[in-house]
Amino acid sequence: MSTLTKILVVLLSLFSIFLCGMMVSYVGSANNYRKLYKEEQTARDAAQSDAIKKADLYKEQVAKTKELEDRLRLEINALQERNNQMAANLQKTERLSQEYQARADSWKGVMTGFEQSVSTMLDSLKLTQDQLEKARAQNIQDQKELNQLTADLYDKIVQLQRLESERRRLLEQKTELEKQVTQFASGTTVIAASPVTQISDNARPAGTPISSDIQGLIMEINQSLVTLSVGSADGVQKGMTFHVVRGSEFLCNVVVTDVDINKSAGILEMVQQQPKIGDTVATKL
Amino acid sequence: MAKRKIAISSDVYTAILALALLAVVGTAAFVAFKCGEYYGWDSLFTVVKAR
Repeated sequence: MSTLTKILVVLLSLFSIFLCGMMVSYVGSANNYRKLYKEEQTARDAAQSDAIKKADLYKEQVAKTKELEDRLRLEINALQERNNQMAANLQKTERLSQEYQARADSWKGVMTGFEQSVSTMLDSLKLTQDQLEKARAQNIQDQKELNQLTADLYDKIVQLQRLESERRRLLEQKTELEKQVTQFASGTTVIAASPVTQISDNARPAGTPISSDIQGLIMEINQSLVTLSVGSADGVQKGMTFHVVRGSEFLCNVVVTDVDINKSAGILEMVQQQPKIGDTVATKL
Repeated sequence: MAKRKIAISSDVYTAILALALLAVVGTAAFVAFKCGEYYGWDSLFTVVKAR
């Protein structure tokens, strides 16, 4: 074997080993494009199916959106019609409100006038009530004076009747004495004079007329005790029952427990309403 | 006939050649295995058509 052959053998072997190493390393590190292709194909199929599903879903959503849009358009139209109607109603209501406001203003003026009139009338009523109270008090006072005068009048009548009987008795006595003087002058027997009218020692004041209907007023009230403006001079007796009325309204009863000449006192019974000074009392309703 | 005398150096070079051959054969087998594994055994001698 020649030297050149040996050199070639060695070089060929070295290059072969070197190239084989490069080949092995290249093939060992090369990518598996078929596998990558299949993976990419699988991914593409999945993406396509996903895209189809998305497209279907998109179509479905578009259909739903269109349906919703139609429905909302109808609702919008209905709401617009309702809005127009409500706007018309609002205008009508505002017009009515203005009319009512004008009426309210006019009524307010009228009410102000009424209030002033009522205030004036209340003042007049108060003044009239004051005058009425004064008149009632004066009436009570006059009633008391009248009762006093009536009692005095009864006393005077009694005295007058007594004096009249005394005068009649004295006249009879005078006549009898004149007869005796005449008989004495003619010489006849003297007969003791005796008046025809006997002296009455039991002359009494005239009885108080008992009226079947006695009326008076309440003069004083102290809880359940009241003082009436009528007394024994008016025919009031203990135990009598007076009816207290105000106008045509029954208030209560008063049972007389104490009687004076021109006034009496009693207690309240069957109280429907609390009586006041000036209320009328009567034995008959 | 005279017997040829074989030198020891020629055995060394034979071994080197054998080693080189073994490397080449191994490389070819490895490349063939990888090619068959990756792209199918049909692709050893044919070009796979694109689908």
